[in-house]
Order: sequence, then C-alpha cells, then structure tokens
Amino acid sequence: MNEVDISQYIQEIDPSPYIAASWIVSGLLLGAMTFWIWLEWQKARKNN
Amino acid sequence: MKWLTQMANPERFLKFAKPALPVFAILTVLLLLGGTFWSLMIAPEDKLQGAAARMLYVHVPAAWMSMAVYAFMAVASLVGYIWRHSLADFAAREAAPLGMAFTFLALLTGSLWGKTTWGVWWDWDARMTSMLVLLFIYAGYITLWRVIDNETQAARLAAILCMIGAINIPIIKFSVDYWETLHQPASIIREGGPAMPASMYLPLFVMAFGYQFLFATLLIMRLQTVIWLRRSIPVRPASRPVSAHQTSPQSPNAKPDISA
Repeated sequence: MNEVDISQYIQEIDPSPYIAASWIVSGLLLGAMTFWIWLEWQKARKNN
Repeated sequence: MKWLTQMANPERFLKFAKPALPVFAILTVLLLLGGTFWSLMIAPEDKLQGAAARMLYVHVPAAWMSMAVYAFMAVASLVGYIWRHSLADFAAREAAPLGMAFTFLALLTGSLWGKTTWGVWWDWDARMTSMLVLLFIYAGYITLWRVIDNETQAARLAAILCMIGAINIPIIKFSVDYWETLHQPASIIREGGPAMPASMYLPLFVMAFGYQFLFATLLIMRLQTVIWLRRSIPVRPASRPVSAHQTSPQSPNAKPDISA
C-alpha cells in the first residue's frame, strides 16, 4: 500500500474554488437530471 | 424474492409507487438539504487537508452510488434473464443513466479533490482506472439498448453484458488493497470501523442516504413513465392482411408486454 504524504501539496493550492466547483457541478447535474425526469414523468402522467 | 416477484407485476408496482413516491421525494429533499448544511457549515475541517475534505461529502456518496446502482442493475438483469420479468429488464435499463451520472460525478469530483491534495487532475492508478472502466461499461450498456430494435433481444444481450461487467465492482472496491494506488485505502467501510470521527462520517452518511433516496425516487418515476407510455401507445392496425402462417405469437419485433 502506498502512503502518500499530501501535506506538501496542501499549502500550495487554495481549495475553495475546487470545493465550490465540486458542489456546484454535483448540484447542477443531479438537479438537471431530476428536472428532465420530472418533465417526462409529467408528460406521461397527463397522457395516461 | 417474493417481494421482487410481486414488484415484477406492473399493476402491483404502480400501487406501490403511488404512495411511496412522495415519501421518497420528501426524504430526498430533507436528507440532501440537511446533509449539505451539516457538511458545509457544521462538520469540522480535516487535520491534514483542511477545507478540501469538504469534497468528501459529494465525492464519496457519488462513488458509492455508482457501484450500488450497478449492483442493482446486475441483480435486476439476472432476474430479468432467468425469470423473464420484463419490468426487471426495464428497471436495469432505466437505472443505467442514473448510475452513469453518479460515476461521472465521482470521477469529476475526485479529479477536483485530487488536484488539491495530490497536485494532479488524474492518475492511471487502479481505483481511478477501474472507475473509468465502469463509466465505459455504463455507456456500452446504454448503447446496446439503443442500437438493437428488438427489445426482447436487447434486454437479453444487455443483461449478459451487465452481469459480465459486474466483475468490475469488486475490482473497484478492492483495488486500493491489492495494488499500490495514489488513491487512499478505504476509510469508512473497513475492518475496525471508520477512520474518521463521527462529526465527519455522520454528515457523510446523511448525504449518502440522500443520494440513495434520490436514486430510488428517480427510478420509480422512470418506471412509472415507461409503464404509462406503453399503455398510451395505440395498437397499430395491420397495414396488410395477415395470413395464418404469419401470426406467430413470437414475432421477432414483439415488444415485451408490461402494460397489464
């Protein structure tokens, strides 16, 4: 097993934009997917 | 098994789905909102990684779901293949884009996290490569359903692909144990319990349950949509007279009947 000493990298990069990007992209993708499925579901429900 | 067999009946499934859907949807919203607040506002920073560890709360649930959804698809494919329950085949088919989205998110958020902790966006180590393979298996499975017109045949072939592809799930899980990887070893589901304090793993579990209920909610909606759409398709009149020898009950283009 390879133990990596990450402490040398952490000071070099401000993680804030990466944290924001990971949460925003997750929210957008899951939100868009939910909205699309809901739209299709609504259409099918009305036609049923 | 009895419950699975009962759910294979579309009428029974619709009866279950009607009251279950709002409950699942409300639980999804509550868990995701509560989990987001807990993860970003209350959970402590990591001793080494600092605030960067807050990516844990979207990365790990997505990675878990990418494997859990595939495992669900493999079981549904097995049920569909052996017992010919077409609803099981459709459950696997409708779960695939959701699983692919979770896999994509796991890779993307992992890449963002990797850049802050390892200094690189990507590394061809066993965990990341096997996750990328999972993304390709999802893509192949979805493509197979789309390129074969005969749904019965598509369901059989896709089920075989799905069951063979399931071998990748234990490879992903144990990749960090069997190979030297840049990715850290398991820190939650491991012998001796989680390698992090409850103040970190509890919000992680809340987010993970939120993702699970989101998947369940969306899958129920997709299956309801499929059943309703099939019911609303009018029976096409024959364009030309059909002679007696052409009225085979096993027409090659016959679609599995899940409308009743």
